[in-house]
Amino acid sequence: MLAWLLTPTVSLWCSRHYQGLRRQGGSRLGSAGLTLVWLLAWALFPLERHGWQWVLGHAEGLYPHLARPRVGDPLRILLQSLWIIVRRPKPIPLRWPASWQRAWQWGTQALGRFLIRQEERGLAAARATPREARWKSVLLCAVAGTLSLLCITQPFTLQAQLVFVIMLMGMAFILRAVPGRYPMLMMMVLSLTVSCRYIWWRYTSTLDWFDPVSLTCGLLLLAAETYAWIVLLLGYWQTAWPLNRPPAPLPADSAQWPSVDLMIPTYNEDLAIVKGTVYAALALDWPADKLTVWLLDDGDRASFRAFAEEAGIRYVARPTHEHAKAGNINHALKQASGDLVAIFDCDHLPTRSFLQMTVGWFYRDPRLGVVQTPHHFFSADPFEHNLQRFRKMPNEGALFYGLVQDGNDMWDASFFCGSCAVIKRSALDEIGGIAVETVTEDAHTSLRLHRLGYTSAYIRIPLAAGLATESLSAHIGQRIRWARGMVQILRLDNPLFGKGLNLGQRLCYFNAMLHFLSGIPRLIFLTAPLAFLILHAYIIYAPAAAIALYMLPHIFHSALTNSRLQGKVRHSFWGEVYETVLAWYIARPTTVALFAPHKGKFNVTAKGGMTEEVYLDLSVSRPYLILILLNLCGLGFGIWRICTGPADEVLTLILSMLWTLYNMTILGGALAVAFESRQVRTNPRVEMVMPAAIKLANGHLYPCTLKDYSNGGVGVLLEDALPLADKERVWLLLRHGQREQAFAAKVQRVFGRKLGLELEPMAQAQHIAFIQCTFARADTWSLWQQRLGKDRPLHSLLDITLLGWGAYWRLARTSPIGFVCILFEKLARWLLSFVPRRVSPDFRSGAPTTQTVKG
Amino acid sequence: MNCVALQGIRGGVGTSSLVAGLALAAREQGARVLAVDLCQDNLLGIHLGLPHADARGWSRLADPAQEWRSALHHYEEGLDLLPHGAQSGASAGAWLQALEGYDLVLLDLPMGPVPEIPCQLLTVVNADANCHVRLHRHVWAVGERLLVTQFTSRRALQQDLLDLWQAAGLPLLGLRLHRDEAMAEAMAAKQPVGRYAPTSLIAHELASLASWCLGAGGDGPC
Repeated sequence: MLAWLLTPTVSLWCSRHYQGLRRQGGSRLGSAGLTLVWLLAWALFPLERHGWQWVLGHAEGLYPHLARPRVGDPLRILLQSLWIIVRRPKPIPLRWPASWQRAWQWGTQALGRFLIRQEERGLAAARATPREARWKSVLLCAVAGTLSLLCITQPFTLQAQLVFVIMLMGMAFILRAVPGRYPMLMMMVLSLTVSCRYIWWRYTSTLDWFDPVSLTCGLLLLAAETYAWIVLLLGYWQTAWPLNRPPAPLPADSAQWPSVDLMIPTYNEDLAIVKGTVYAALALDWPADKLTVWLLDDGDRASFRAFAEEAGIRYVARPTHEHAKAGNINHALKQASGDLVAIFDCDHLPTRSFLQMTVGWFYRDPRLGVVQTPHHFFSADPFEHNLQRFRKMPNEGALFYGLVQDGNDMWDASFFCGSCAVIKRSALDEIGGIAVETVTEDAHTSLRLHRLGYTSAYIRIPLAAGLATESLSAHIGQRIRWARGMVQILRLDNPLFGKGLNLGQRLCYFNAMLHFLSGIPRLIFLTAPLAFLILHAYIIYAPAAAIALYMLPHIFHSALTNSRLQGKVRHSFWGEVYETVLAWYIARPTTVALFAPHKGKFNVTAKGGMTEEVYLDLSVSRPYLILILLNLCGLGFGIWRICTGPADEVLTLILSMLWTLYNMTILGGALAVAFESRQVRTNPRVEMVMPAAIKLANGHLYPCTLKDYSNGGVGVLLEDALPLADKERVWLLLRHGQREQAFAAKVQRVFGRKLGLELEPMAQAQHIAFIQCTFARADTWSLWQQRLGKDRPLHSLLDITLLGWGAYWRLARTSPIGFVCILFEKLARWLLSFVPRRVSPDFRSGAPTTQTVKG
Repeated sequence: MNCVALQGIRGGVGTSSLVAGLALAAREQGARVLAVDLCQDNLLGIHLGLPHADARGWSRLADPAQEWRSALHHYEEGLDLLPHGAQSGASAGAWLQALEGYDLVLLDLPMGPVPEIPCQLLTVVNADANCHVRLHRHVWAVGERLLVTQFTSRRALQQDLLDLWQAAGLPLLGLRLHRDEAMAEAMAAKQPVGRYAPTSLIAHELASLASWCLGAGGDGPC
């Protein structure tokens, strides 16, 4: 067709260009369009000149998104060319002036140093003259108390409140950057001031006494907020000064060491899991004549009995099965006669140094009753697994084991958690064995020990590790049990009353139990704005500006202070997601337990299962879906009211809708967790970096690094790639202490320097040695908190927002209107393909630049 | 100047290979190294590329203390070898004190008395019954350490002997050198093992040993 417009040579070139584009995968229209553009370009521009030739030569680097010829390419070329002409290759980063940064740095460091000096001086004075220090602190508390009472109850005009709030926010920002403990305490004081003011204001000026609906809803919300305020207060009290207790040394003569009974209760778990724990227990560094390992089998299984005989440990099965784990242990205690009792869940493997690190404190403190260590998990819990955040941020248990128990230890209130602990036998006998009245027998046991005057210790070093719960439903089942048990203890053996406990212990135990009552308050928070949007009930009877001025600082200060306090063990806003996931499920059992503590049965946590494909666990996620639907209704109502209601309510409506959106984000996060993802391995992989060596059949040895291992295989990183065939036999050499062990393995996969080995079935002695070399190493879990990023509150919020709304998108895609979503996605992608891409300053070297827009 | 002497508790434990590999490992860490062969067998040169027919050595010199530089064989920049020369009757004596200009001097000692110069003595053993009996008869020098080579973890006897020696309080060096085929092949290739198979495990272990030697021994990690 073009033949009569162009000369033969040009039409030959055109057809050749067109054929080339078609070969690269372009459509007919796209290739034709591009060929026309190419023709036009050659006609208009002097493309044979050096500059143009240079551009054409580097086309791949300058136009990275034009890999495949497409219809819209001419427009893309135009946009990208304009972009390259206009934009700098290396944009000047936005920074504060260096002098300001230096001044800030100097100021905060100087303040930090001053406060640390004050802290040291204060501590030294307190140690030197304790009575004087106590009088001083009482006086200080009284003065501070009266001043703060004045501060909290003084009513402000809105302008005054604004100024006050801005001042406090400024102070909080500055203190946030100052290192040390005193700034943290000062931030706590600021947060308490703001929060107490908020609660006082709520109680005195925000209830609508005339409208019964408003009053009910308002009172419910107020109760929930009071609960949150009490938890905040007690939380600060609990975690203000973590003790960080170091291990105490044992006497030099090992003949004086106490005898220990190590009990492993089991009910219906797999033998494979229990084997690991037993082997690790046998590998403990403790004189063999002073350690007895007991396998307490409540399932009466012959395979377990045979295994216990083979391994040479004591086996106990009992005729009746009442009181579950507590009864099991109490039954075995009748036969045990050691000085100390160490209890391990059947999937918690102790490291070899467990006893040597914990028993020392029994010598230091003669009244010590129990030493507890953290429960570290080497597999991902449902949150980390389903959200793919394993080892990228602290997991749900890190707050409790990393901070709360440590803070409890300061008040001598750290409690027994059921596993990874050592208890003094005489103390246990004094209280009549492990407590059986509630389902959380561990906390109840340590409460009783505290009441009799025994102390407790918590060592923050992970000395054992185990399996996390497999699926979300198992996780929720476990939490329901804990919640029910703790509330039972609250009713039956209230720590606030009764003798034997000091004030610190009472408050810490009470806070632990209060934490589990969060079900109903959380549900109230999730549905509170709907009362206004749907029912038009004034839950907070105050103008929108006042609400903003009182509530926002309260949220801001508690978020900031918690970020400073807990940032290393829990990232901001994730606590809301965890609580929301559990809220519906623990609401009923805890309320029932609160009024009728003796009802309710014990259900065991499932461990070590396998989920096959990706699915939305509907039975678990139904409550969230209902709440999401309610919130959506609320949003709809809100929009309707904005359009049709009185003008002065618009601000309040907008605030309520913002709150609803926040609730929906958190609910989306909870929904995201309910999308159970694939878990095809039966053995969880543990990440651990260890030097090892590999020996080939021809006698050559090579050093390597063990990257991860499980009971089935290992991942190894070689220093240089080796020519290894599939299924080739090699030996993996691992050391523990002075001994080295060779494990036969087959090569499963080779990828450059990475090697996947499948271990061959091992005899018992070999298996013990493997556990000793890997799980039972003393330093295996010592890096449990490293490499987890710092807490950045805004980043966290953005993360959760993306997660939550991403979950809604996933839900929409699988619902009947899914095709609309897919269409939207395709449209969005097509539009994004026109966005100009970044070109790195050294695109000439061909190095790919990371692009924010992919595809 | 550090001086480390290696002596096998019996012949054939692999002392010469070790000296050659250690010399190269120390060289690669930046030290100037001199390896001195004090065995009449004169085999250290084979490891370090000395032609077999080459007859020079300190035993052929009239006054080794003054003339030792003339008998040097330069393996490469910073790594020199002083061969024995295979002359019978020559003994290592006070002339060893005259060696200078190096960061590390490695002595390959034959069985028998140790020369009277300040050096860190490493006795090279294999974890087998033969060495066990010899150790029982061994007369210990001050500061002497035992270096275990040819270690194979798959041999239960080796692990048990090592545990026994540990429990008996013998001055074992913490590092154990594995039995690596690369070592055997290196001598056949007439190269030190660090040059022949730089990625092998034994090369890495010799590098650790070299850094220990350069740190003059003591109780550093090794």
